Amino acid sequence: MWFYVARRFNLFVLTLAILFLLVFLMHKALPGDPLINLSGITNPTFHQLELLDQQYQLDGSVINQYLAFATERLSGNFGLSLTSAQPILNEITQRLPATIELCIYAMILALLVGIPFGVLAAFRYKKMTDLLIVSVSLVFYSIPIFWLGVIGIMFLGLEFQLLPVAGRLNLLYQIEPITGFTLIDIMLSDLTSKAQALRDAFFHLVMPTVTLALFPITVVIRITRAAMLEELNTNHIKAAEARGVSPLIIVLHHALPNAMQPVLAQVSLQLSTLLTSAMVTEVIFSWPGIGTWLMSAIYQRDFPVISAGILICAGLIIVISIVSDLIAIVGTTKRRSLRHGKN
Amino acid sequence: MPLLDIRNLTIELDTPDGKIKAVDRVNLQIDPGEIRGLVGESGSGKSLVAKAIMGILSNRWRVSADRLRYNGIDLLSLSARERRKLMGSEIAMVFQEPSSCLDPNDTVGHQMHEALATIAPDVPFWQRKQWREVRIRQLLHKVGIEDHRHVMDSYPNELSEGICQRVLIAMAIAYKPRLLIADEPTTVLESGAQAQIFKLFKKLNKINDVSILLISHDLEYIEHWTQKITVMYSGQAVESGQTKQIFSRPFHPYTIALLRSMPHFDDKLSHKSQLSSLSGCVPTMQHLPIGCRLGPRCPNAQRRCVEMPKMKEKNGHFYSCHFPITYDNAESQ
Amino acid sequence: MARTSHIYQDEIIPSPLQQIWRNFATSPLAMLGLWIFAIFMLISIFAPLLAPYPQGYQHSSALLMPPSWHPEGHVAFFFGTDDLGRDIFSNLIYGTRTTFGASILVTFIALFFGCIIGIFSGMSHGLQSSILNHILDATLAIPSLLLAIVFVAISGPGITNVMLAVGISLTPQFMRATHNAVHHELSKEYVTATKLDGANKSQIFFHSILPNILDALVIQITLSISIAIIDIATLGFLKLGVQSPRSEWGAMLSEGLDLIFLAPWNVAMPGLAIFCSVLSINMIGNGLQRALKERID
Repeated sequence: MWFYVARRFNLFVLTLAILFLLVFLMHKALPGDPLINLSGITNPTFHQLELLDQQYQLDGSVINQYLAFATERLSGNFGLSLTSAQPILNEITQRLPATIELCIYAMILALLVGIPFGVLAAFRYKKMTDLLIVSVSLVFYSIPIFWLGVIGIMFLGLEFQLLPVAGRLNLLYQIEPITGFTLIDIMLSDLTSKAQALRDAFFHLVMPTVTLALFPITVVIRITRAAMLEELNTNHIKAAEARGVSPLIIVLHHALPNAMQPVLAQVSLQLSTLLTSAMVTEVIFSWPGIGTWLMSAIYQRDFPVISAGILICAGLIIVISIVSDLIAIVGTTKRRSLRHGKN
Repeated sequence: MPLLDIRNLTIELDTPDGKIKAVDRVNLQIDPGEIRGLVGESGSGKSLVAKAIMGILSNRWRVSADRLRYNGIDLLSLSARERRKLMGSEIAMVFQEPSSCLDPNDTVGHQMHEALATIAPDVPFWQRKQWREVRIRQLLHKVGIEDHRHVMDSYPNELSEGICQRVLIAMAIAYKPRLLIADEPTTVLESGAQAQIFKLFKKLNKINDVSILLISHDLEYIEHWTQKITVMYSGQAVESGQTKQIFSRPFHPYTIALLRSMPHFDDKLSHKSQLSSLSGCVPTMQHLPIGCRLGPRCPNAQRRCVEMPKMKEKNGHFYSCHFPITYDNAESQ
Repeated sequence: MARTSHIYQDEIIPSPLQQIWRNFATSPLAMLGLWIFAIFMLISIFAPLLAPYPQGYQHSSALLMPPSWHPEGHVAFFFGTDDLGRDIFSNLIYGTRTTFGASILVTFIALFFGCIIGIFSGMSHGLQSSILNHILDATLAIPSLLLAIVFVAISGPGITNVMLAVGISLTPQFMRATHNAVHHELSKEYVTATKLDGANKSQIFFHSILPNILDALVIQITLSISIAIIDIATLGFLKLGVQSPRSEWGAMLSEGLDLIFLAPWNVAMPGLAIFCSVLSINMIGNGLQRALKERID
């Protein structure tokens, strides 16, 4: 098993290296002064120029430049934003939790709603329930996320005034951003009207989360259904049926744990789509996360921010997929060694 | 009254090319305390019959019969829940590949606990787990597994097929069924394990009065261990009766061909002679011959064989052939 | 009496393609998807002939007209007009070319490049395969839309840049799909049998592997077309895509956002167009998946 962990770690390091390479090459293609693009300092003083030259090794060979670039970024120096002249790292730490909060809640919602429906559809294969679930999920799979968000805003937000349409929290509430996650921060702060604040934050969360979660829900339904159908046709399920075990126990105890493997594997594959959808959702709902920040940077051609954004987003995805891989491996070590002999 | 009474069991499959009768009007009767064999090549429909009795065929197959009765209860008219209850208490089934019939992610012990969970002993509930442990140990010893601790703590993939099969039999007899259906239980086992499994069946039959439906394509074992057999070919029952009778004086040409194809190594065979078998092969389901399904391959086939032969009886020996091989015929040939 | 076995009629077993088509045609949803797809294809090919007005032509007399079924609407402006007087119907038809047609083109280009790389990486073993695998994983980690957005941001808007961007972001997915499919087939026993027969690499590929990965490829194609449509529309929505006078569904949607209360049809119509085209592709993909699975069953 440790061999496998080492291989995964190896993959992680290599993938990060290739990511840095790609971003480095992108920097080479950017218009304008490379130093400005790398560091974000518009009018560097002589002293600063010397420092930057040392840091980024622009006179050295390409390999040296690449290594310097990677070292700088890994040590947290993303430079300054061209538009706000603030260190990019600060802006990232301010904005990233908002996006992560949205993504986590959306993924949880997707799993909570998707898995039961997928199991139900597989259980009632080719009957009315199954056809209904499959067609509805097909329809929702095809709705473009921005259209959905816009319609949600129009009806739920403006027409019927049920839910707020923008931001994370009503400006009346001043919350200390300790962790960056609104709900947790509200609990941790010392407001008198915590319940109200929680309610408000919750309402602000509802529409973006549901909009973001709709696409993953359909994917989870589809994969769960396929995995369950395959499981329900195996020999040991038939044998358990022949023993007279009740269908509920069969589904929950014997079929579901095996079927969960491909579902959870798919979750890590869905991460990149989730992140891009999150960005679009943030733009629509004015959610103060990485997405809006990155989009405004793109409109304003703020190159340091753009490159930092790619590094952060892609890096995050790589980290999470490796971690989920490792968790999956450790969790199913027994099964692996039994099914495949060795690793 | 027979324990299992099947008359004219037909199992059909809907295909784009029309309805196909995979099993065509099979009759089967098992008396209490009897071991019956069901013989046939692969593809003759024996497993389908077994699965139809248990009710675990998938929805694609359509089962119909004049009579499908277990102990007087009509199985076709039961609801799914009642069927499950019956299967869980009176009929048990053992399958062909033992290790794939156990959940690979659960220890054997846990699965046995689950199998026993449906039995409600007269023990207060805090003692139930203990009772189950004792009972599992007893069952495992009964099927011949001495080292029960090791077996119970292992996953199915870590155990040999013989042990897995015995574990499955232990789970099957846990609730004291009256009928045990064994679908090719020893095909994947090595011969030492095979003999042990058969001895176990014999023991169950004699001591616990369990009727056994033994499905196999291995004639030697069938001859040795069963009392009555039914021979199936391509979905039809062609001959059935007492084992001794059929093996000594078969009527149906197919049975004769089967018996002849068993290699007898004491015979004086000439060098490089061909092993005897019927020419041709089993017909595909889409192109079943009209009338007797053995027709195109039968060495004795004549014009009348395009009519489906009716099941005739002679001294408890059933056969369906227009031109059975009896001694009168054999002499005239 | 010896009998030869010429007794069974010749079976007409349909070829795999015919079987797949038969399975596909039994599902009304899949056929509906196919029809809608065909209609969209026709519209995108014959767009100039079908649209009543030229692209982006502004009728200053008919601003914000509601669709024709509205009491104040006019049949001449079938879906109504926007705040600059542009007929939505014509722009939708021209937009079919941009959003729908371009996505199909882009998918096939990505298919071409992705497949070649994927096949090479799938057929190699050892260190080569490992390296290529790692590169694949790295490229897949970067979100496709992000890549497209950044590409367009750097090189500027315009239809060719959008197509290039979306194509570049789709290629890793094809690489990954082909690589996995080829790898999966290589581990099967009939390929080992062919190897033992003495086939060299290209023979193994063309005879054994290629016909069997077509299933996975076709499914990936349908998936990619729907992703491409949504990506191009999203780029347009984020105002990074094609600029006027070229019409594009996503761009039309974002322009209509400001008028969402006065003239909701500005938002509804392009959204419906995107939705219908993606739905048709997904229905086809769904039907194909089912048909392919049923063939194997």
